[in-house]
Amino acid sequence: VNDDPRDARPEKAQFNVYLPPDLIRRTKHQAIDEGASLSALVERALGEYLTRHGEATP
Amino acid sequence: MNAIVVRPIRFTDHLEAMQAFLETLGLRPRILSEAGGWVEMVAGGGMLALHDAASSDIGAASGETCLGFDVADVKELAGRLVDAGVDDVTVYDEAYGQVLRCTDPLGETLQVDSRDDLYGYRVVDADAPPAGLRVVPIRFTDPRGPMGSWLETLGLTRVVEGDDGYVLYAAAGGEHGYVGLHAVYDDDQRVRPGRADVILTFVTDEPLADVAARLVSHGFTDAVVERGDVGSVLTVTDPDGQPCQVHEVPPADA
Repeated sequence: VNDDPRDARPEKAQFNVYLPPDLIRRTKHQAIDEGASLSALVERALGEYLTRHGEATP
Repeated sequence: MNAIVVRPIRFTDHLEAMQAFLETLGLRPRILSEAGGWVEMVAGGGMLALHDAASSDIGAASGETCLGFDVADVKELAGRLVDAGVDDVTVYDEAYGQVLRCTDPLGETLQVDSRDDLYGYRVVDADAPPAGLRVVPIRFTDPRGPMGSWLETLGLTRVVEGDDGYVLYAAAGGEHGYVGLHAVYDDDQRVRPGRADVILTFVTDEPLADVAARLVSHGFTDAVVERGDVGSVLTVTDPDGQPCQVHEVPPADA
């Protein structure tokens, strides 16, 4: 039985966007302040935004 | 110049005790997370990072060690890996800088970090570590297998080929640490948690008896120096319960 938790991690894909350098810096520092990885913070921020504003219909 | 620095990561539930253990060996803290959970230690050659196991995003167990490296320019290194045929190289941003990740020939994820922001971290103004103390993580695998050429692609060079069971690779001639590849023996396989099959070892030009005496006086009472086939070796159990070895400086570096 493979019980290694690393094999159960959800699939992630890389998502490249262009942002203002100052927004990048503030986002990175917020991740540090929250003790989160940058990916986890951006994932949460985007999820919360989409929940608040309604997701686009596929 | 984009010289790679050997910087294995030890995941631990005993971070403060591990830091004290490594300081007793002679390493010095350089960068600490202000929130806790991350300490970068420097040796005279190479570095070692301590990572709180509970906050590991890969689910690492306490006592697990994985190979890791630090480099100034991960994009340049990524280009070299792609040119060498590595097909899953990704470079992405982290809060502290940039990260290169890819899969090594044994199926493990390799991470190379490039720090460009110290926000949330504290730089320690400690005494320099002994120049002759160098980090040597040892990966258990066939030393004639694919990991050797992989390390050479990363920028390390083969410096010692003791016998069929062991090959040593140097980063910047050892000034940035070493990586050893060691044949897998049954006894070796029993002791390490995790999948990476890595143990922490060091080389030093300090008399091993002095290092052992210092360890014993700091409570690491099983430290002992024995004469082996390839010179003297100091063995000691670290605070994670893992075996740690300190060897004399390898011949090519003496």
